[in-house]
Amino acid sequence: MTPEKDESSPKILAWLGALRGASALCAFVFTGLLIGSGIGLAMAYVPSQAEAFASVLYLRQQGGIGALLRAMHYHLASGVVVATFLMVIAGLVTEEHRERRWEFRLGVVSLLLMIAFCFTGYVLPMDQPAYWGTSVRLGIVETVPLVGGLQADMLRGGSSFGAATLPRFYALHVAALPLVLVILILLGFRQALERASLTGGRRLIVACGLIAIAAWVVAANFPAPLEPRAASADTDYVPRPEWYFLWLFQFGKYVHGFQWVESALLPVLGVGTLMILPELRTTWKLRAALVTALFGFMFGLGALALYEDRDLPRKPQYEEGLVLKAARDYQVECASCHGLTGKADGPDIGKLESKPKDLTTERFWDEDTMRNMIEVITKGEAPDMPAFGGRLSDEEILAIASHIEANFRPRAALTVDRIHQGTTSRNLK
Amino acid sequence: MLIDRRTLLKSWQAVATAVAALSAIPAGLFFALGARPKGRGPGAPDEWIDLGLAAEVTDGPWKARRFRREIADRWKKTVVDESVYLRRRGDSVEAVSAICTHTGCLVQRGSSGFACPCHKSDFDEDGKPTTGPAPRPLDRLETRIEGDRLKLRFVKFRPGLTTAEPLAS
Repeated sequence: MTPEKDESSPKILAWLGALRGASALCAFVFTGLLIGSGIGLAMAYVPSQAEAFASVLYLRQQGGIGALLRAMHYHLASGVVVATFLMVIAGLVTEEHRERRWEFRLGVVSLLLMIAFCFTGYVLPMDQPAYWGTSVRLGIVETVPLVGGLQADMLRGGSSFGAATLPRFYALHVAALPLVLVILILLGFRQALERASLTGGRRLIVACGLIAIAAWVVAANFPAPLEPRAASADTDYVPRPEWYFLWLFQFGKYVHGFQWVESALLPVLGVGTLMILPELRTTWKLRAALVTALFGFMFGLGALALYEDRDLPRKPQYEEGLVLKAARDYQVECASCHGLTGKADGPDIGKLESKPKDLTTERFWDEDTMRNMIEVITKGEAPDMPAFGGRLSDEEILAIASHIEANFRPRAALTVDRIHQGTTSRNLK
Repeated sequence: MLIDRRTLLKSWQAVATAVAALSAIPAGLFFALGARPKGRGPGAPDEWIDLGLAAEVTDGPWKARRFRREIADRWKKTVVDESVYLRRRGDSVEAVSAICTHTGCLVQRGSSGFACPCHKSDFDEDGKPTTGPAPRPLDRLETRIEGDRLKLRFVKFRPGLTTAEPLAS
């Protein structure tokens, strides 16, 4: 029995065929917008360990078109993975994968390519998830039999994450992988595009336009996240992958001792099956059952991962992290002398040559206090106050000064000073 | 028409293949051969790092300790933050790497022992894995006490392996 003649395959297959077309179209439009927004971001981004985070933060804080492009790039990155995945899956269940074998296989390669784009792009902002997520993934790469260690070293440009790492990921993300993409399009999708334009005609252009508009709307309304700067010694950070990799992450928890199952066997089996399937005679019902099982596996594990993380606190964004870090910095660095309540009654106060000022008195606060405090925290003050300028960024020091003001400044002093500055007392509550 | 469609398509694909081949060779060569720097890369393994006064490590359970070390990294020297866990054993101080042996996350203190927040590997008070996917115990690090200072030889090991293989350079 040839599956093409299967009589009982009507509606769902037509529906899947339409889904395949729609997701291919989305993947196409998303790719265009990703290239465009990526070029824009590349003009602003500096692939260096020292500068990367700062350059991304600058985009975020400037707002405007830079932040918009970043949001677009961020959301479409997930979008293109999902669209390409759906395209492959729909082609698999319908007869598409047998009728146009090489196109289907190139679709599978595109899916791998999109995952490679995500892998290399994820590290670039150098915030906490970027650093830790990539460390974990490189740790998984290490476990590929025979070549894993070498592969991880090549990606990192050495045996640990260092100065050579970001330039490598950046070069792969913006030069090597896009070249592969162009070659893929030249090799295979040119025909698909021609076919689509012949059958779709003007409707296709309208659809592309609508998808693009939707992408802009999403980007304008949902900014890209940015967590605090990567901290390589932070034992409190709990890394988690993107939502569409949660199932694989959960799977990793169960692979005890045979990590190559996750890092090598599973990908090889998955891709191998997809590549061989066009040569096998299978019924669509069997393939549909396989795909349903796959979705069950992925959604089941993903849901389990979310369930196990139900008590995990929400990750603070950069700005919230700054406030939390200021409170922690005060406790760790300042409280031993200045005291937890700012009354200069910390446990180490006896060791000092000169007693620090009480931060809670009205006398301490006037219109110059904030400026002076920032200067003293940055540069230190003889004889006892250490300088934090080299260890903390200007922004972190400002956050500590703000923490001190918010927590220790007496309300009366606040009122007097604000009135002095000409603000109305109405704003003070 | 001078060239028919089929020939055009063929030559199109030939161009694509040629571009792929021409670009893959130099890029691939640098990707592979430039991966391991000559001389010492990040982290010199023979170096003993000063962790401050040995007396600061008091009796009781493991405590996390952050420290900074300067590394020669390609064209520059950088300062990186690291974490280890320390505990006192009589006159000496024991150190265990905070890096999970599974995929390289940093482990946290559990109710007893250590817990990795990533893939839920648990380790007992001696760093031996109890549950979860970790393939080997947490890596022990060498310490010594010079005068009143505590010194640590900080080495990183490859994650994911059953044996502790120190990272080259």
